[in-house]
Amino acid sequence: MSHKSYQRALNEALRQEMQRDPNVVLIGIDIAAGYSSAAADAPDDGVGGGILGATAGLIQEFGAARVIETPISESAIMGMCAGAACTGLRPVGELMFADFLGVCFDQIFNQAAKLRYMFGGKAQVPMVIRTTVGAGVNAAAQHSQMLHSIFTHIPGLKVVLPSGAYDAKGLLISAIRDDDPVIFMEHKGLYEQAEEVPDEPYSIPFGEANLLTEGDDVTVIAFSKMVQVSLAASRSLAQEGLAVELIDPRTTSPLDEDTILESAKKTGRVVIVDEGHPRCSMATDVAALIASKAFHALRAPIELVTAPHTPVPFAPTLEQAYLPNANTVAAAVRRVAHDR
Amino acid sequence: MEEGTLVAWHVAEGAEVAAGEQILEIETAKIANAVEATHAGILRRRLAMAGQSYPCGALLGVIADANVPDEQIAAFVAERAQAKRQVGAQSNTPVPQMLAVRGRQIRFLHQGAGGGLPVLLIHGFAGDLNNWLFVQPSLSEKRSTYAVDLPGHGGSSKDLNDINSLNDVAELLVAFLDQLGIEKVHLVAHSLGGAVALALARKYDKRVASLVLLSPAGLGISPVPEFIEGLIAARSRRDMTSVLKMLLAHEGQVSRDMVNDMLKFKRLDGAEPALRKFAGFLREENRSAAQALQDISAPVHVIWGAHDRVVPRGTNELPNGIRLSVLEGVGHMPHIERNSQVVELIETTLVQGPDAAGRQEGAPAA
Repeated sequence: MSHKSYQRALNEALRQEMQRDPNVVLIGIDIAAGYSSAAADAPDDGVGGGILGATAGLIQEFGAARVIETPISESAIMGMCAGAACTGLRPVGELMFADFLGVCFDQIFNQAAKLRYMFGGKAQVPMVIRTTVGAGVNAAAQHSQMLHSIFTHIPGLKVVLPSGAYDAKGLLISAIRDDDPVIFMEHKGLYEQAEEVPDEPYSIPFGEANLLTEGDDVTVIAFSKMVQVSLAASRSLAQEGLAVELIDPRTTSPLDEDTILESAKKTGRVVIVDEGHPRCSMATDVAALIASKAFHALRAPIELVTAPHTPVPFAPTLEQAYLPNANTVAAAVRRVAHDR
Repeated sequence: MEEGTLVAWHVAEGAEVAAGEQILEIETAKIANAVEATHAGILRRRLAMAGQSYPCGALLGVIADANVPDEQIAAFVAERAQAKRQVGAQSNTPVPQMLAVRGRQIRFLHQGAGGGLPVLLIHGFAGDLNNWLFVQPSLSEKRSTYAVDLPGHGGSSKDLNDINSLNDVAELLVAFLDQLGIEKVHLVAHSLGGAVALALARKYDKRVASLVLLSPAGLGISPVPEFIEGLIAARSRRDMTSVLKMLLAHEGQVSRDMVNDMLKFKRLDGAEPALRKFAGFLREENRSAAQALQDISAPVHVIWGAHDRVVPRGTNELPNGIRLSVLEGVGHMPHIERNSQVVELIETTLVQGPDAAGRQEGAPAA
């Protein structure tokens, strides 16, 4: 057990699964960046592993047959992953920014997500798409979107949003071992987040929410980086005597409805925090779940804390204004706590 | 586990406290728990504040007789603060180490030093060395103590190749002791660990100075299947919470972190198969208490919670000469639920040897 960053936890998960199962291969742009066979004898100097660094050192250990560099063609990467998965490999495709998954919707929505269904269960597609989501790093509107809701909408896909280093490793291992296509969304603002992460491999089941704090006053349901933001808010609210129960669903598909409903029924007061846009989103989805299945337990209107319905601004001050933060979350918790 | 949070004081500054009286509530990664007064006297200082966290071993308050002058207490507090600063950045919290024993990694936590024979602490089913968090520091004041992670548990290797019985587990612990150069030890063991300790003592009688067995398996009573099978099956927070409630007399003491830690252990590759294998070892263990103890010449002291629902003592009789302490209001985890009393009971065995005159039923509860 030691203190590890989110980035290192992801790297460790990939390495350990590649050691365990020779069918696990990586496919993506620049995932071996900086590495050349001429430098093969040089000691690992931290070069390589793409701009995300999550694949650092893997080409050296597993070679170019398992760490496969591609041209900049998103649809080729995803089509290759789906085909390889159908024929027995366990590919982990990497697309640096979820924003570009739009280029390969057919491969993901129509092929990967549908093949098991179309072939009556005779085909399976054990592939993982690793990608980054989220704003806050001044990467502008085309590299900052929080697109988990779109993928959650599609049956046949599993959608995973690790909110910390421990979850990142255990959920990525589960994703690789899963027999269905998994969209694995890493938040750019979490790569430096560090906590205790076991050295050994471990897997966290999908559809099992994490309870970060227990409390009787207000239920907060948050996704991805908003979990860390809400955790900061709940600590300051504890000083005011407000006990927040903070739930991180970990996966939006499948969704741990039981944990959400159980907590909503206990507190009767709910805040949902999501960095995605507000329309047709995880925030509205969870709100509808609670309103339809725990309506009589509610003691105040459900509060949604989301980004606005605009593209992510590039100007740093506007980008910060766009994002929910600990203050806006705390204000929403106070509103529902003091409603009547 | 390196720190805990003070939840509340139960006693006002200036109030008189009895030894064993619950004086404050702390919450750690393991459990929310009352801390008992180690000595009788007046609670002269409350140094820790509710809601704050403190490292293990921090000075939380001062109990002294009424006639101790205030200046002396102030000097004591200042001295402790000084000592803390000198230790400085290199925190004095001992950290677990790894040792390769017969090709597998064994994790252990060594604490203390001194002239006494060393103590080996052996945890129970699905436990780990952190289970001894509340008793190991006190036991380490006069001797070395080694809390070990059994194979398949905690930070030790999870694979159990070549380990096919409790005797094999005991052999591995003997190899562990050999490697540390330890000839003779006191064994302090809990639950499943009790059955391991008994197996070790039966084969290596001369190497065991004494056995203190807390709520032990291996003395004619098997752990209930609802607990063993329930724990193996539980993968969700909800299921795990209801299983872990069986461990404690006061179910409310099962904390979120206690559940999370158990889930984290079970998620490790190999942990669940290891637990299944250990469950099999336990099923095969069918000696009566008399059979279990007959080849053991070291003094044996059994400590049992009166409300143990995992290895319920019932009306089980122990052979003559075996000391028995039954703790009222305690479940399956005496070393967590009633830590300071358990330390005292263990010390009586380690220091003086057991009461050879016969068994003691129903030691007074705090």
